[in-house]
Amino acid sequence: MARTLRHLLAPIIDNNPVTLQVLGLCSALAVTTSLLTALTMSAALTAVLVMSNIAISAIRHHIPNSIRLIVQITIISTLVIVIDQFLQAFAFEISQRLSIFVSLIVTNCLVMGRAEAFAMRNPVGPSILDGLGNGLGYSLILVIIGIIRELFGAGTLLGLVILPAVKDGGWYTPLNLMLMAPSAFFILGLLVWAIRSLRVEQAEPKEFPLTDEPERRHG
Amino acid sequence: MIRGIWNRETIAWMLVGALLPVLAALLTERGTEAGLRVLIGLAVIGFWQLVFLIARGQPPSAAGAVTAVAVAVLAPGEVAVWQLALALSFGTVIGELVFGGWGRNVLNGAVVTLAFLYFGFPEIQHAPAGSMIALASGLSAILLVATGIVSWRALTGAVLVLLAVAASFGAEIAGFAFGGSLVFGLVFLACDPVASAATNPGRWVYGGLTGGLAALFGWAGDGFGAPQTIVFATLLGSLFAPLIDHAVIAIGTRQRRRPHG
Repeated sequence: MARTLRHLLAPIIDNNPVTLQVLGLCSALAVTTSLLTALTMSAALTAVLVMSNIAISAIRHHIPNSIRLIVQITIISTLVIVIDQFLQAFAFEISQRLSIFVSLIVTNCLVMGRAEAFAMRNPVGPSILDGLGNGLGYSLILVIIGIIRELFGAGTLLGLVILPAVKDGGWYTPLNLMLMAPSAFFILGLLVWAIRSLRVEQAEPKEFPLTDEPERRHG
Repeated sequence: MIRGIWNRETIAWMLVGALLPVLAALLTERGTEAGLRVLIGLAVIGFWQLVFLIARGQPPSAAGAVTAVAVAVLAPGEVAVWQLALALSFGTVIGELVFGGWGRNVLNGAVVTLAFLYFGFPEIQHAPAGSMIALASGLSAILLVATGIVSWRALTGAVLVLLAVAASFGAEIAGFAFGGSLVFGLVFLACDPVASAATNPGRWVYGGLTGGLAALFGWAGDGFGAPQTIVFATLLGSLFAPLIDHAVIAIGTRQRRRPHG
C-alpha cells in the first residue's frame, strides 16, 4: 500500500516535475499571470496526464517499439483536442485567456515524459496514480506562482480585491513587473532555491566550490 | 586572481576610491537627497552581505558601495524608499550574492537593481546626470585605466563604436562628453572588471557590442543621455561577455593546436 501511494505522493515535492525535473516550464511561466488561468491550466494538464497514462498503459504491450512515440503523441493530442473543445464550449472566456497554451499541452515534456518513463512500463493502476501525482505536483507550483503574481501584480485573487489598488482609491501600488514573464522566472528560481535549502538531497553538487587556500589555485 | 597585494578587496577599494570624485559631484549636483539614497543603499546592501556572511560564510565586499552610488546616480527619479530597498535587495541578492558574492557574478549588481527599477516602476521619470558627474567620471576613468582595473580595450572599443554608430544615425556626438549618465555608465557599469569580458580580444568585442547597443538604444529609445540607455546596453552586453570569452579561448586553442609549417 505504502509503495503504491509513493507513486502519488513522491512527485508532489520530493520529485516535483517542475522544480526537480524542470519540465513543463513554458506553460508554467505563460499562464500564471492570474490564479484562475493557472488553476484551469493545472486541471487541464492533470486530466490529460491521467487519461494519457491510462490509455498508454492499457495498450503498452501492443505498441510496436519503433513507432511508440508516434502512438503516444497521437493519443495525447487527441486528449488535448477534447479538453480544448470542452473549455471552448463551457468556459469560453478562460479558454480565450489561455489562448494557445491548452493546445500546447501536446508538446509539454511532462506528459510525454510520464508516458515514456512510466506508463509504457507499468500497469494501469500505478500509472493512474503517477499521472495524478505528477499533475498535482505541476499544479502546486503553478498555483503558488499564480497566487504570488496575481496578488502582487494586481492586488486581487481570483478577481476578488485583496489589496485595494491606488487607482481604485486604495493604498496598494501594483507591481507591474509581476505581470511580466521575467517575474515568473524569478519566483520559480526562488522556489527551487527554497525547496533545495529545505531538502538538501535535491541540491546538485557544486561545480566551483569556494576556497581561500592558495595551494588550490593554479599558476 | 591573487597576486601580491592584489586581491579581490584591493580592487573593490580602488573602485571605491575612484568613485569619490563622482560622489562629491553627485552631492554638489543633487544635494543631500542623493546622499541619503547612497546611505539607504549602503544599509540595504550591508544587510544582505551580512545575511550571506552568516548563512553561507561569504565574505562581504566593499564593492557594495559602488552599487549604492551607481544606483543613486542613475535612478534620480521620485523613487519611494520601499521601492529603492526592494530593487536593491533584488539586485544584490539575485545579481551578485547567489553566485557566491562579488567577483563571481555574471551581471553587475547595480545594473540588475536599475533594470528592476526601470521595468518594475515604469511610471517614474529619471533625469540624466549632469556635466559635473561626467567630468568626475572622466577623472575616475583615468585613474582606473592607469591602474589596470578598467580595461582600456573595453573602454576604447565601447566609446569608438558608440560614437561611430551614433554619428551614422546623425546624432550630435559632441554633447556626449557632458552626459553624466552616459560617461558614468560607460566607466563604472559597462567596463566593470567583473561583468565584462576577460580576454584581450574579447574586451574589444565586448566594448564594441555594448557601445553599439547603447547607440542603438539611445537612438531608438529614451535618448543618448538617458540612464536607461547605458544600463540596458550593459545588461545585454554583460550577458554576452562569457560567450565572447569562450569563443576567443576556443579560437586561440585551435590556432595553437594547428600543425606548424
